[in-house]
Amino acid sequence: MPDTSDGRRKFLKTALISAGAVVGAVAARTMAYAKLTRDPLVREMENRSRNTSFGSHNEMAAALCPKASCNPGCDSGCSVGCQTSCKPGNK
Amino acid sequence: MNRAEARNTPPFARNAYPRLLAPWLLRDDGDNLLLYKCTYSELKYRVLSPVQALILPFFSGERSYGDIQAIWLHLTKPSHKAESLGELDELVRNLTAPDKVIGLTGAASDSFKDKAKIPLPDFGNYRWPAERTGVPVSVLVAPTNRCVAQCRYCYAERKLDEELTCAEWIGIFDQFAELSIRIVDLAGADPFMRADVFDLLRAMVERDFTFSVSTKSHISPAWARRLAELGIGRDQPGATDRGVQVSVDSANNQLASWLTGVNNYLDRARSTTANLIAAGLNPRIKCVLTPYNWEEAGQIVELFSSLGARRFQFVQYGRSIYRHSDDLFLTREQKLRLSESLPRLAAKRGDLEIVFQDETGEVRTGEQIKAAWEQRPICTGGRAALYVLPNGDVSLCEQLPHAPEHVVGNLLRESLLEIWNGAALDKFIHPDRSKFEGTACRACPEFEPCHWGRGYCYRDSLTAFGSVYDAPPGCPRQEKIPLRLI
Repeated sequence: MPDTSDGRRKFLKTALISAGAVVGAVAARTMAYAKLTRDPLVREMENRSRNTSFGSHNEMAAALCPKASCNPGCDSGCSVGCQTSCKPGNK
Repeated sequence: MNRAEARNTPPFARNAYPRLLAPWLLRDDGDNLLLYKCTYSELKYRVLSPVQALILPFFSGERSYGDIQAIWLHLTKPSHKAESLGELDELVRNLTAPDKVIGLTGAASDSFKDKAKIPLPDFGNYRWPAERTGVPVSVLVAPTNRCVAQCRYCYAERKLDEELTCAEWIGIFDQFAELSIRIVDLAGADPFMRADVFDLLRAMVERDFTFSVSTKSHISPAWARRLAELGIGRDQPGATDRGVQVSVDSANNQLASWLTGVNNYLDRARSTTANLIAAGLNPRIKCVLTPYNWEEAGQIVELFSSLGARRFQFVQYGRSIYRHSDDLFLTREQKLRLSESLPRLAAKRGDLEIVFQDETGEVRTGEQIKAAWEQRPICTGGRAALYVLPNGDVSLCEQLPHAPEHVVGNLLRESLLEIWNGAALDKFIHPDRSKFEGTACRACPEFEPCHWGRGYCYRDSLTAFGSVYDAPPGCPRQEKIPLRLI
């Protein structure tokens, strides 16, 4: 009969490493999750957003619209009345 | 890296610690969360969408981007995680450029100074998109309309109103501070015309307002030291931005005096600048370009940089409602030549900050006019900003005449919030069609989204057509020929 002990050892080693990696990954994820939920700001935001859905792609697209940031034409000193044609005050 | 690759690359490494940068601030605006740039030099703000409001308060610099990604997934509970993380990346990327709201280097935002008071959204009543802010982001105050000069190009009305006392102004400043208004800039004429100017300035500094003082008065060494003690005009990275500006229109004393109506104006401005610099301040030199001085930008920069000035601003004359003269308009040829020479000057003097208005008076096609109109930024008057006149009257814009039809309240009789949420202001920014009889707006199908949504420039309408109740010259539906504005 062929000696398979070496093959078995290799198989066991691989299985142990894999299991260790899985356990390690689960432990890391659990620790990361624990860290995340320990964060008081996360808990506060979770409470505040409990009944809010953030899944809407339309809302996301609108949120990313550059026009949400205003006044590109008024970078040279005008504080009020900001239009692209807004002139900096003559004084 | 091409654009598509850039889009697929997260804006920060998972182990990087991105943060909201100064001078950006978060503000709990009642029904939503507001992000704004706390500086007097430009008004930039946005009412955050719910997803932005959800994640931005975590950018304090204490959490890695990997942590923030995990928080995002935890809070949004998406069905497709990879896609959702891509959306977070996109959201954050839009805040890293061009406005540098979030970054890895630079002073952090003051919003996280007090961990117990980080502004957070109330999702129960979240209002977004919002046509206007819950409280003004910026208020312009004019303690006086008096000025030592009589500049030929001045845009200000200069009506000699009764002036509030220092104590009355301080009461008003207290209201602003209680409402977390930090941008309280100085407008009107020259604050140094008031004997109590330093009391006013001190009160503004004590409330941590960001503002700039513009003057044509002569600033003595003692006054310059007092400004320095208050931190006005001093470069302090991470500190509240407060500037000082000296107007200079010519490197020729005779011409400078003629333009400003002040004898020996150039000598006075040189002395002022030298005194400010000796006190450790960094004044901005501002020049209004007209056909009389348009070729002098280089000489002004040379003369004042030799005194130590490092910041310069050149703007083109624009029609004043009150003291206009056509000979002050730059010609097309002059504008074109400035469009070449000013960038060259800025490049040559890379050691200085030289900003200028690049307006060439180019004739635009119908398509260009339409595109420009559609992309116009909102008018902030009554939507995010207000103007307080010397007697406490409140209007929407510093360039509207001080007349009853433009006044929406008075801060001696009403609180700022009463005015902000009052009927007069509401009526001004939501005008009825009947006010636009005989104009392109009267039957316009876009009337509501235009007037009630983004608004338009009241000053341009008034200056070009004599009424705020008319379409501004930039509107593609405006058929009347406007008065030239710039």
